[in-house]
Amino acid sequence: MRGEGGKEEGEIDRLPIDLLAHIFSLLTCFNDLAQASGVCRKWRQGVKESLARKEKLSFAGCKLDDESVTRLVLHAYGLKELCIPRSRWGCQITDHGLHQLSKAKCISNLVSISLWGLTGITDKGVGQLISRATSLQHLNIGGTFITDASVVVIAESCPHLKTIVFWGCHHVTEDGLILLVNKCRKLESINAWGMRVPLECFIVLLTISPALKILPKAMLLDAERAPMPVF
Amino acid sequence: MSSTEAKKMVVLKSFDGVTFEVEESVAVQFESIRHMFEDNLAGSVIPLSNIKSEILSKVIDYCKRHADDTTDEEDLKAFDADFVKVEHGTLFDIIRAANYLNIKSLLDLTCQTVADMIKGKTPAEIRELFNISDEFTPEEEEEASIITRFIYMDRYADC
Repeated sequence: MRGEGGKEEGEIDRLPIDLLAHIFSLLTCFNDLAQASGVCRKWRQGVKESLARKEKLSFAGCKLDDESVTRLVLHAYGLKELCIPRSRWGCQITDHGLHQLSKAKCISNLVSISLWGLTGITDKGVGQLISRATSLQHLNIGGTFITDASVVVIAESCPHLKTIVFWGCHHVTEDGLILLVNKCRKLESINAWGMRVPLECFIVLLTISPALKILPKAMLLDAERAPMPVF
Repeated sequence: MSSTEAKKMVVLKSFDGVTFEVEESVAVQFESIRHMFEDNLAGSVIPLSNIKSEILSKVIDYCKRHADDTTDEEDLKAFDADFVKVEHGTLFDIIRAANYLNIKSLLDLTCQTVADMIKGKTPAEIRELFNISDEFTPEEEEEASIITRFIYMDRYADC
């Protein structure tokens, strides 16, 4: 037992869980939230409740694996934006993690997902996750090794898609892009930096959807000279 | 509030029976009981059965300062910073009172103070700071560590 040093035991216990949750919702750094959940049962419950109030969850800069990301997202019922980019320590999210995530209730409400630079994921996991993300408006899938198989799922599942980042997706082809632009009629912009598709492909895309922005603009002017992204 | 009309007073009674006379212009910040004195109940005593006089007096001080238009921004910041330099128990009681009375700015100030105390600490440091008994079973501890161990790794990697 603690609390023998003269201090009154657990004064913070006077705070009900909803007030603890309010305090935790002010913690902007995800690490602090994770630390708080390890304090005691009541705090863990408080962290869960604060997650339920969160609309944005970013794992940027965190070293997390499939299980921990899933565990946290499962409690974030109200989530609208999810960001799991590769961090300097190498995010360990794999297809298994994406499959687990696809079961979370909030996935169908997400408007924004970033899986930027997750090199451990493939079409299988992306397909499972995205097929549930039917409200999606913004997707960053740049720097991954997905192929047209994922693009087909995006095209079929995300009618509200407005922006997509394919930065450096070498395995996505002309066919995938044309299907996407045909299916996602609300699509406003595609970031195609470093993709290996011929310049004519973009002309075709623009004939399908004249208002479409293809980024970066310089690429259309001189596709040959555009520097390739460095991973 | 116009200064020409007579100042309306509201009487609040704490849990331990102490009464406080507060100008209505200050008491309007107590969102949750506002209707009680605005519904023409002026003069009657409003009982606050779960707030101690010590805490109520602090809350009233805070609201008086924040109701005063003549205080400049810098002074108010300094006042706020000083206001939260109290013992933990008092701070938590103020949080509960601010929540009960629905004084948003005070709730934000005090909760942010606690959030700032938590920032950058390990679970063990937090338990020590707030005198929380570690009540996890070994299984629960293991579950918690799934989340936290990756963060510890980062910490050590930074050293």
